[in-house]
Amino acid sequence: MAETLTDFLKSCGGEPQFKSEPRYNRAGDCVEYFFSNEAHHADRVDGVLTLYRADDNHSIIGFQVKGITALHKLLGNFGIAVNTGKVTVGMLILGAYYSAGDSRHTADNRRRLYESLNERLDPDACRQPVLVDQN
Amino acid sequence: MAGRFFPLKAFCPKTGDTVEFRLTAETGEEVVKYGPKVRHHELLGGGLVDGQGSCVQDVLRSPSVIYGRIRQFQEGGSCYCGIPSASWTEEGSQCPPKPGMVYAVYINPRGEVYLWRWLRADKSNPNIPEDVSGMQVIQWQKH
Repeated sequence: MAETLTDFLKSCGGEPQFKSEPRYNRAGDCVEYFFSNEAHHADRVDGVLTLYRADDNHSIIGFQVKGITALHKLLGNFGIAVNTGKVTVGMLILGAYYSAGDSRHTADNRRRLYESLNERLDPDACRQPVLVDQN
Repeated sequence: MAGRFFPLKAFCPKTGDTVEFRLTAETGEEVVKYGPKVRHHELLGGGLVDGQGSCVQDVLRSPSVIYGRIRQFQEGGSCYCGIPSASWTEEGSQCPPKPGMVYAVYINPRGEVYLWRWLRADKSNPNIPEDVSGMQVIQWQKH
């Protein structure tokens, strides 16, 4: 009998859990970081940053940074060490702000959205390393 | 776990038949071990029949629009959008689809499903996302 999706997911780790830590999604070449385990929707800021907002009150509960390979290269070009495969969350967001175009928001609104994310992230969260294993 | 995957059936925009995408064990592990839990519910559904109420499988099988060239930095990939039969709370309760929203499932150029989520719908067309500036090429649209 063919394996069901239920069986497959059980074999991937059992019961669903939530851990708040930045994760590199290799298949999507993106980093996601959820601060809270809530039902949510995506709010695209620009070509690199998408915010995740809680359905209940629209507060920011996480984010996605896309195009990590290109961002890694950009940060490396500025001498920011990425040799270890690790980069901090704060550096990724800063890199996203300076590299992304393609936004439906005005420059001021876009800056405010980045600031909103920054306010939501405490300094410890910004210093969290993200292991980017592209192999 | 390398190489393991689960096949997910999807509508093929070229033939109108069925195509198979892959959910890799690596992505499955991320969903199960790190969450958020609602992603697990949206993928699996919760009915007695496997896949019943699954936002991901609903939209892959019956999309309202399929976008191509979805990534700014890497060519290829597609995004299936549509209105699934249900939405889910973080506790795993099944609810009606979210009003004013559309569900999106992202596939990379290797045919791997890597992300799924709700987006705000366009005000004039509730079947398509409001902001499609990252995925301009429509591969197929339901009429």
